[in-house]
Amino acid sequence: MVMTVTNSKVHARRQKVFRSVFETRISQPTPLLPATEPGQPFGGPSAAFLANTPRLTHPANDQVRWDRAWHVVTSRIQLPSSVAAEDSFGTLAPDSSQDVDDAFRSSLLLVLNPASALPNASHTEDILSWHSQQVRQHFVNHVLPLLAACTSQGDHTQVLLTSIRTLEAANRQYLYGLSLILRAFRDEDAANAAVVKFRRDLHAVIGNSWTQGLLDALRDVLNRLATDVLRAGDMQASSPEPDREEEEDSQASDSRGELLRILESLSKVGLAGEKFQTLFAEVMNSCMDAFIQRNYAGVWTSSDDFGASTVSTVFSGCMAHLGDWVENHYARLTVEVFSRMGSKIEWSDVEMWKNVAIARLSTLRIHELFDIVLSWPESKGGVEDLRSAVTTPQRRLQLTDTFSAALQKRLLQPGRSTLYILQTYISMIRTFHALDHSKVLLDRVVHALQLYLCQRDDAIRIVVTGLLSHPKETTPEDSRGKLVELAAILNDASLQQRRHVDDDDLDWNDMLWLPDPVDAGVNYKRPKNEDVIGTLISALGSHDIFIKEFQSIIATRLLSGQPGIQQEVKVLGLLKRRFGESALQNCDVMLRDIQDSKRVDAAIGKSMESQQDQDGNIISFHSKILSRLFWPSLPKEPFTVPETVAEMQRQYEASFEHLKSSRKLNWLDNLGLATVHLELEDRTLTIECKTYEATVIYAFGQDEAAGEQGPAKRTFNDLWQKLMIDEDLLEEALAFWVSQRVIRDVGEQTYVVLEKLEDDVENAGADAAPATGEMEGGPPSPRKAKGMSAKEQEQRGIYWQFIVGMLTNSSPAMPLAQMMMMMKMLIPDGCSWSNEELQDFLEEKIAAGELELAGGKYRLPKK
Amino acid sequence: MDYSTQDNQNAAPGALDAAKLNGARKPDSQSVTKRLQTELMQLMTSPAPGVSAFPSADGNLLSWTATIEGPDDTPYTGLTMKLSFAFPSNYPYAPPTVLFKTPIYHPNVDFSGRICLDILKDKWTAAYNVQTVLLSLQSLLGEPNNASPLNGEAAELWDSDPEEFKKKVLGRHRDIEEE
Repeated sequence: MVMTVTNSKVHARRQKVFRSVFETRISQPTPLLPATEPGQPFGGPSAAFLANTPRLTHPANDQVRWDRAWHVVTSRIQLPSSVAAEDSFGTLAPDSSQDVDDAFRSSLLLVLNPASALPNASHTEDILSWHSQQVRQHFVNHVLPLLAACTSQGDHTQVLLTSIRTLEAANRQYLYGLSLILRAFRDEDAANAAVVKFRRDLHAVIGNSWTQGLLDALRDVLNRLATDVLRAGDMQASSPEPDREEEEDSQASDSRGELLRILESLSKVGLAGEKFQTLFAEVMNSCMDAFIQRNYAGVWTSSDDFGASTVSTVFSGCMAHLGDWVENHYARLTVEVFSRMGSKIEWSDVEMWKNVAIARLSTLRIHELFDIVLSWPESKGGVEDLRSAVTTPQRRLQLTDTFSAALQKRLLQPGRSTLYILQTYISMIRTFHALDHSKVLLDRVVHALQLYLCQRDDAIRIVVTGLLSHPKETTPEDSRGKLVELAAILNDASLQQRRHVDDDDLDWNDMLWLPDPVDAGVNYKRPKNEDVIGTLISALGSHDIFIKEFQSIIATRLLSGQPGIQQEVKVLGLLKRRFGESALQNCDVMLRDIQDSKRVDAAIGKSMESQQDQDGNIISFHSKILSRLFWPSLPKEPFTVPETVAEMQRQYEASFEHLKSSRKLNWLDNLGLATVHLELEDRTLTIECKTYEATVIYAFGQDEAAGEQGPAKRTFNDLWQKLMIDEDLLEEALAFWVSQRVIRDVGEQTYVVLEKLEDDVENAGADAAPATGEMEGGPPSPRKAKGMSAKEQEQRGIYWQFIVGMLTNSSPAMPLAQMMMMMKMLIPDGCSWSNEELQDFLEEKIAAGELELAGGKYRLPKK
Repeated sequence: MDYSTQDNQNAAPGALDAAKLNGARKPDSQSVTKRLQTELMQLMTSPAPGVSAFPSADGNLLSWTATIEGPDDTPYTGLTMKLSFAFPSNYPYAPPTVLFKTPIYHPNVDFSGRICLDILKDKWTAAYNVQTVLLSLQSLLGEPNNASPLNGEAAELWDSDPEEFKKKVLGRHRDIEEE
């Protein structure tokens, strides 16, 4: 019970609220009798009769007259109740007969001025509000379903056009009724006011009648047309083909016309309200996005390619083009559209759009930055765009954040070769230099890269070889796998000149001085130029490691017998400027050693009596004298050199000691080069080879006088014992000569000189092992367990000593991380192992019983 | 390697503060680190039997711990002695301060571990290093210098009653448990 009471109460209150807003008491039109002609009276006395009826002054008569007049008027302007198609209410009732019209007019006069004409009518109503009301109802009952039917059509243009037509027809109908009423208005102003009011009401009704289908249709059509119009501003549109241009222009103007036509009709039927404006804004927004994406994505042409159509000179390249487009196409369209809707665009709005567009372009560029870096320097234009747009700290931050993410995702992957990373890094240095001379941006993104590079063992080697490579080696095969760019930069005189000693003091004469950027970190120092090499080297970690690597690489190069050392001297000079003279003293000495030994060698060579080999050929003998302390440790693998050579060495030694009394010579037999001249039965060979290879082949020819039958034959063990040579070296040498087809392996570690080539062919057929194929891989040495190089073995020994010393003295038990830290810190060259490697090593030791692991800590077992 | 940063980490806190107070870092503080690092490397690459040394666990390169195993044919055979090394900032131009951490009964060592050895005092030269000091100390265990004892009783017993001396040594010795 209570429920119903409250329910009805609520209902009553709702009714009240509703009534307070909408007039519900306005009477419904008098029901029509079926099949009356429009304008024809029905039922009661005809309108003509009514009009001619003498006026009665009776109050009841007044009321009756008013009722009748009301009836005449309302039945005349009554909207058709059922509509089958849009045109059914589009046909306006013809102004058929004068008399009907007269009857209508007189009734209308009565209805309009009930107070004066029918003072006694007690119940009168406003015909205008009645009309509005009926229009509203008609719209809801008949037009809306029609509109809904329209939207069910497939084609969006069709939907839009039929909807507009429907609305136009409805409008016409509604206004016709109004115009009938207004005929009776004498007062022009009152008539106008009535029209304005009616229109406003109507537009409010229509404006709220957007259906989803219509919205979609309109959005689609607007999008298409706006895109067409704005396409005229595309970069390609300014192509030199006049035909295409005209065609496109005409297409654009067609679209523009269509768009404006639609807009006019929309605004006429009242659809140009707030909803439409929102929609239009959305469309224009997406048009701008699409335009920028279409025209500028991946387009990094440099600014020279654009004509002088620049509006503002601040921007160049794509920025200028974009600004131009916003001004001449985008704003123009918007202005036209808005003028159709009766509003205006301020110049400041256009400026704002320009800013928005530029911000979008710079966002696009920021996302493209990684690709820009990759295709540097063809992408200079893109960087120019960015440079003019990225001005605020926020945007700079956005740039570095986005770039760091891209870097992480696309570059710092195990799949990328170190060379590729370094090349990208060089491009990055240059791109960012062009983007921001202050280097702040680069510093911000490069950190992850530097960390990552430290994990790449070959990074330093690649850089150093790059620096030392010959810049003229521009053939693709040679430059592949090398950073030839570095050599080119190093040799570029223009870059060299700009490099000057940076001093801490401010240069007061520097007219190009700028304050440090606001977002610069502490210890910030403005770089003088792009300095690719310097930045690269500093990214590779500590100087000592770099210098060490450099030393070992130039050691190899200097000993390789290359003719000149200019490149080395040049690189050394560069590095000296960077690291200081003292750090590179060793390399200095190394270079000087090579230069000096040439002189010394010449001097000694003169004083020596020339040696001859068995055949009477003069052996030329040269040496390089290295100062042991300054060279990286060179492997010493002694072996018995041929007697003639040993004799020369003795002589050489004697004259050297004579020349430099305080110094002694120590021969590194295995590091030399020899030219071997071989005379075999069917051919003579002259081969450049290593000294140990020469010694081995010499051993084959040595005992020939001993009267052996057939070609000389040696076994591995014979040679090994005779030459006292390292097994690996011996094996290498034998493999070398087999590959040169001078000797062949006849099995059981026995080698025979190949006096005639055809011998080998038979043999090769027999055991199906081509001589060259054996070079690679090589069979395991019969005497020495391989797997670990001697150097690695030594390193493991030292590290083990470290660990034992650490656990004996520092702390009896240590976790892995602490051990790693101590080793990294205390070993002068740094610990080359990773955590995992150390752990593996420690586990080996645990397995061997030399170590224990307890509670996550390692300790030495108690004795 | 950048020794300036290395030094900040490794220098004794006091030394660093002093350096700061003086307004400038000592010119040779880098070379101390470098020298000690080289010495450590040397110890690792060519270890001497019975002695070892290593920087302390906190990574301070100026403070080391060393271990000496008692030589055979001495009363100390089978014992392990721990020592501490504290290097001055002008090392190797001044000797390190060496103390026995393990309680030891020895004519030239007092009860707080101080050692009377000429090369750790006036006979020090820069040519000595950790390894030579340790080897000298090792030989001192077998051949004490009874002319200038810090522990008179021990000096007397060494000569008069080796049995009693050995007993005293074993009685005094205690393996110290670290941390």
